[in-house]
Amino acid sequence: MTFKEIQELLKQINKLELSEFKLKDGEFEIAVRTKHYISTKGAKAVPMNMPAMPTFSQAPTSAPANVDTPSTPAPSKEPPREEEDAKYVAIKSPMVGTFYRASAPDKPPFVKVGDTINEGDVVCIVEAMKLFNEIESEISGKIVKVLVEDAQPIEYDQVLFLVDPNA
Amino acid sequence: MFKTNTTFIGKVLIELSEVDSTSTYLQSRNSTDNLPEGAVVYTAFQTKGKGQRGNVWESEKGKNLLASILLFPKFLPPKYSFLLNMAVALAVRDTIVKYLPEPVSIKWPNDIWVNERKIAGILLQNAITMSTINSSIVGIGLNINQTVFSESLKEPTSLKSITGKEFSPLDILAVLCHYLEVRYLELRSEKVEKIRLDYKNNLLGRNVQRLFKVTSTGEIFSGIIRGVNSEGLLITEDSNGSKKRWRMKEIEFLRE
Repeated sequence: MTFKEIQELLKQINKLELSEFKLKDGEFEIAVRTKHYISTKGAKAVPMNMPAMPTFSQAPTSAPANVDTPSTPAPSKEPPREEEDAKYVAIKSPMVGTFYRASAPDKPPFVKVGDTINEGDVVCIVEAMKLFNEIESEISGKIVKVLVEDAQPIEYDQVLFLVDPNA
Repeated sequence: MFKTNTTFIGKVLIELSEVDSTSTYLQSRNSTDNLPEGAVVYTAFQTKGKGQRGNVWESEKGKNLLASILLFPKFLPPKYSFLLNMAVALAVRDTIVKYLPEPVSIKWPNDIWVNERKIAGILLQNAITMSTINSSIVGIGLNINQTVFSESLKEPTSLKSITGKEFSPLDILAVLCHYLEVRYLELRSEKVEKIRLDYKNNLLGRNVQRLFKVTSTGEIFSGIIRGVNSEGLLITEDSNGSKKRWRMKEIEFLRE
């Protein structure tokens, strides 16, 4: 894809008011999130930075460079947050993996909409390469939205839950 | 007699004659007793041994090594948790290498294979937040003296099946604690490249052609493993030189 084509594509995405757009064609991959995407920037209760660990925070991928597909940076302009979401804090995935709402298929979900959670409560499991990660909430509040279906693949930083910290 | 030369792994050893699962036990025991890092739960018999989600780990009484180890890798950002997987897989491999002249491989992501058969499995359970891995329970099953396995399993192997000799599971646990500590300290001192390289160099199928099956389509292809990326996804290269990345369960290794 040429730069011009990408520009044209971005224009179209904007016009259609999509929240998120992904295109993959062989080695080429583009992912765009617009202002319509549920933004969680500014959610102060969720620390966004990795601990100050120079090596780990820069740990290079062992993948050969040509495997990592080039990606076009999303528009750098900070999308304005929508009023409604501003009240909520997101619980995001710390890793790529599979999202599970319960500890086992026959068990009830850890949390559901309307539940009140406390800091340290387990809200879900993210399974990644045989690592079973119980995700503990860093905030207290009420679950207002579950954004991922059970057993779905998820990406790093993807929003899993929205929590109302004032409820 | 259990003796280790370690500074923290295995210093606290909880030996149980029977338990549902060493990992489940360690998790609940830690939540009530605040165990120190490196605490080990060891058993001769598991009634509900866990494999991957929904799978069971089967083991004949007293014949194998079944243990779980408690770690607090708070220094490792969750994003890089696959490094812990690599370090543990290497430690289990290091242990087996001590007892076998045969090549010992890591079958992605963290099984240990000898002669195309599984000899050990690892299951990690982390308690994490967006920023910190608060604790990690490392469950390890290593086949030692068992030589007959149930039909439902895909023909595993054991140290005895390969060598004809019997070994003491507790002696092997002491060796495992040693290597686990060595690898964990490598990780803690950020010898990340060493761990990545050792892991990559010992991957089953690395730089050799072998057959894989795509789980979703059933398609079988011949490919070469080139390594894993930082998230732990497997990278294969097919005969056309095209590279692909795979998540767990998207791809199956066919036995040679």
